Amino acid sequence: VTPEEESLLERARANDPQALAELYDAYAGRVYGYLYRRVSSPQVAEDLTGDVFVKVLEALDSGKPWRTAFRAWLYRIAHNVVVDWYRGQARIECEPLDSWDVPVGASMPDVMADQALRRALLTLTEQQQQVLVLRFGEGLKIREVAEILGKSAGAVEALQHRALTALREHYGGMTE
Amino acid sequence: VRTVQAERRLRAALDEIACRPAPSDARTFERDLGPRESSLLETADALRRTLAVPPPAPPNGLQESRQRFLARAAQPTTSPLPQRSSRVGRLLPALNLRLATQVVVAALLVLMSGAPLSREIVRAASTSVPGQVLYPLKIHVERVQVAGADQPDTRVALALAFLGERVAETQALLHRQAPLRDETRVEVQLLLNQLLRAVAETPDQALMSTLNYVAMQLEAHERVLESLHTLAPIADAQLVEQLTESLPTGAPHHRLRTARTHAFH
Repeated sequence: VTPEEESLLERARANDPQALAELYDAYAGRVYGYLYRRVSSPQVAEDLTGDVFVKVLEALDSGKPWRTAFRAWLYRIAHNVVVDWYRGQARIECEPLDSWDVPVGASMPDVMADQALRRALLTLTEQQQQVLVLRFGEGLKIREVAEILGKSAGAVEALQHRALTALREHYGGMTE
Repeated sequence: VRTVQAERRLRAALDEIACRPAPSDARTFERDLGPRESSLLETADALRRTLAVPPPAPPNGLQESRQRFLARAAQPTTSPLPQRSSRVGRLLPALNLRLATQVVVAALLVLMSGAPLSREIVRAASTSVPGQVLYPLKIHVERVQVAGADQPDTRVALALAFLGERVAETQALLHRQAPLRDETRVEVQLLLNQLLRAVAETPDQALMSTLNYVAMQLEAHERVLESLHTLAPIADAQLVEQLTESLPTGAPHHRLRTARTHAFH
């Protein structure tokens, strides 16, 4: 964390409106990206992004701000918001996988492999998906993922290993 | 020993894949690993590249949730019927005017000195209503907040939130059967002027979402005020009417755009 970020976080912790606006601008895009990877709908991801930041304010109001890393704390809130959202869904409706964006200029085999991998990801358990998205989608370290999920680093490593093994098996089955 | 070393290498390679700044075709994880570990790394690398594809742009550019966040941030913790939880807040209505003035001056001095008591007083002020001794402090704090915001959308959100406060205060006074005060009308007008100025300064790319949000919020305030018409005694009915009419809710986009045009000329 740079001194500027540290100062911003301190001002936000004291409910400074300007700092809160800057905090939103700095992190909303990242939170939206993470939520989109979890719910696969831009509209839902945008709505949930608002919910995440309202929960940040509620935590500040109730005197329960982040104690260690802000980023991990924020992802933890986002994680809880996603879990709540899934619980509230009688039937989960995701966007068709074929409509997901693919890299510009990607070849057809690349696109098919990409979609096969996304499908394989959806076959994993919620926690396995969570670990893989936080690790390989958000680029978080093992200890950050552990903090978000409330697990030990060793447990997250084991979860990651099982998730990758399962993903490899499903993905291999789909591409063969 | 070989297994432990292999696990360590696998872990390091997974860390490299997960935490490197941007995925590329360069294979930096080729190590002395068995076929099972290598295939895990291949899978992780493929996943990293797949998840690195940027998500589609949010439908509203995250502006609506930004406005919602800023409006929520601007609200103290006042409910439509303010409940005083602090000891200071409960005691103050009983004080007489001279003492009240002294309390306000003392509060300002404490504020300037930055003593911890200032937080308690500001909290008590945030739930005050017109006619109470700490109300001028509440208005002062709000004005400082608006003046201190350097982004137009932050000022829009603050002005809307404080307009909501004026409406909530009006509602609280009527529920308590306490008389309304003309200063509410004056404050509402000042906030509307600040709101229009902030809208006028909004960048073009954010204007539409800002206008939609402002219109939505003003209509919500208007609905609350309209619901108060039946509640207001004859002496207060005219003021409620004036407050309702002062909100630019009829064709709000047109009125706000007109204000924006005037601001630029």
